[in-house]
Amino acid sequence: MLDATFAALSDPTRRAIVGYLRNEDMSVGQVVEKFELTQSAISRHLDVLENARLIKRKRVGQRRVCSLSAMPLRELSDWLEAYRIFWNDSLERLDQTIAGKKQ
Amino acid sequence: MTAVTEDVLEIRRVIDASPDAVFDAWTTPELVEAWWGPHGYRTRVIELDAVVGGHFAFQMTAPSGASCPMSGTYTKVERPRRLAFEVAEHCIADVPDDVREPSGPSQVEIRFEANGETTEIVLRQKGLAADYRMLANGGWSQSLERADEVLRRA
Repeated sequence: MLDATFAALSDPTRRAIVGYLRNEDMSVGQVVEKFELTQSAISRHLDVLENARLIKRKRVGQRRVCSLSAMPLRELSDWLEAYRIFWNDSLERLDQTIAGKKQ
Repeated sequence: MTAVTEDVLEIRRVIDASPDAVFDAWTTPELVEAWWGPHGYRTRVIELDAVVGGHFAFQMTAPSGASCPMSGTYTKVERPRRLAFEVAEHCIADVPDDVREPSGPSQVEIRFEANGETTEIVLRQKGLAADYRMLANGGWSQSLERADEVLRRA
């Protein structure tokens, strides 16, 4: 799961697409306009991102709109959460250690 | 280069002791052993040289008995106000199996701010989320090539 996320994000064009979609949903046409690449090249990048479940594409009228899915990106931040536990636990014990020394 | 995730962790805690005492608790091996690591972990200090460029190496043991080393290099040592180090080797508790180690070092900076009789610790850690630029240069690009091949055949 995470491998697919990393693989999808190991390409600068796809990272840039994710960057744009963080701010707003965009139609495929709008994404194409941001790059000097053909529509089919962009479509392939969007396929990779969609397969990695980083984005969703839905049809809105005549347009296909891309939006970001938060879940795989959240997995990347699990490390932060783990370290938050690490430091909070440690500092609690530090507090007890210092309090113990004072008595 | 778009950073995809915000990867700065900030922790604050007030300790009922002077900045000197708190700073020393971070840089004295026998004191570090008394508190370092999550609940249930034990830490043995192999090396702790609290000077700029000096190394630390802690042998941690998880509650399961698993060995979990953590090591790095001090980058700022300014008693009693500031301590910073780069973690080269991460040891961590309770990470889901499919979460890998950070692909590179992370940077920790701790400020000890006197506040009357107490000290506020402000700890910031950066670089924990995977750095995509590094990933791009690593084995991930091979995965990507394979993904592209699969797509081309599709």
